[in-house]
Amino acid sequence: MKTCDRQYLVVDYFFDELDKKQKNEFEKHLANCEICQNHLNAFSATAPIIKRQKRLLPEKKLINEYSQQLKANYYSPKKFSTTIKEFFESLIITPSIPIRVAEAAVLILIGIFIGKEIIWKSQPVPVQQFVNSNGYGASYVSDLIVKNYLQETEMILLDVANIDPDEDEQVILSLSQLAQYGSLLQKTSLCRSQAEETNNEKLVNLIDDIELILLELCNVEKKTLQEKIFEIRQQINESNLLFEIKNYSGDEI
Amino acid sequence: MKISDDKLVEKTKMGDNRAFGKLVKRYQNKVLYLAYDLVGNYYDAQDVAQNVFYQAFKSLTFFKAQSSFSTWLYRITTNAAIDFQRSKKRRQAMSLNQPMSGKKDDRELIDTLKDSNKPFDKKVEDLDMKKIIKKTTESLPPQQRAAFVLKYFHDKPTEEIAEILNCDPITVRGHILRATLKLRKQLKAEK
Repeated sequence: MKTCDRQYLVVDYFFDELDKKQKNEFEKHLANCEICQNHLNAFSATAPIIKRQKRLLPEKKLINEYSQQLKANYYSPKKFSTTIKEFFESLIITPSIPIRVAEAAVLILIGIFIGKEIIWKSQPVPVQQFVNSNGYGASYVSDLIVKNYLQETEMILLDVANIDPDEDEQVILSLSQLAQYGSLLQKTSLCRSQAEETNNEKLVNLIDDIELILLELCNVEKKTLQEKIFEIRQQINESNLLFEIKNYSGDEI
Repeated sequence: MKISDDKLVEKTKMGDNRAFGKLVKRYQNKVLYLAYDLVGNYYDAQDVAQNVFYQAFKSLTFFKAQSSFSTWLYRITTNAAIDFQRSKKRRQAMSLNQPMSGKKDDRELIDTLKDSNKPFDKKVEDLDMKKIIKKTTESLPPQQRAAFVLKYFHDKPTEEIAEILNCDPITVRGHILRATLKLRKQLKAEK
């Protein structure tokens, strides 16, 4: 059988798959090649007959069975609970990048919310917010804060009054640090504002005296320790502060 | 909006089985018809098609999108159909009492005669043509038959057929040319 090295291009030519240049070249070749002409004739005579034949369609029963099986295996409608379960599983097990970002954002927001709640709750509670109930005074919580504050200062001032600076320099410095790190000065201003709100003049005066001594104590330095402590002890004794604190804690709160 | 095959493949790879369901729905008829064109009857074609989707689901993680999803699926279908034909021939050779089934020919006859738009002699001629085409395609070697079917019944371009059959486009052209010439010869002989 005679062959031509370009005979296979008849296929692409017949099905119009050659580009313009290839098509022109092949048409030139076709004009002089009997083999390719015969092949092209064979395609022209056969292809329309093949194309005319309709494919036998499957029986309805078979096509239904086929679709049902595929549906059951691959695209059956899921129960709502399964969809929800898969959604949450996808969030945890195979999250995409946008989902991860969204998760991180949600966690940050939750963190901020919780943080805010805690910080808000730890703020000093205004006296007027408390309702008079269960037999407690309107400023029950604030009173407790003031009482604790007075006890704390009493302890420190007692120590300062009783310790000899010549003998125990280190203890005095520790007390000074305690006054600073225990935030006694902040507590002082807080308690004063509480006292002012309740118009308790006696307490305001007492807190002012305490504040003066605490300021002195916080500013104690090693060099001037003995002089300072001497002054502080003198102030404590002159102002009768310890007695007043004891009195106030015992009687009025 | 129609989601692209690539997007559905990507979603399936990420564990979304419903995306694969959409791909199955999209290709179930094409796969069934290709399987039918290659194995010759719908009962076997159905088995082949089921197997194709199972294999596709199993190996989708290895699909690297070097070709389109449809080409990849056609390749699986063609291979599955060729394997099925080979094992069927083996089974038939081993079986001494092969059951004969004229059922599909009857259906073909009924379907053709039911076509009321054509005159009777044209219907008979069509039926003869159909038989010749079927007989000829069934006698072709598997690869040649697949190339012929993909070109004439599924309108696939030569390059894509080459991808589906995993061979050179020149080989595909050769298959189609030889198959067409053979069919031409058969049709001439019948006339």
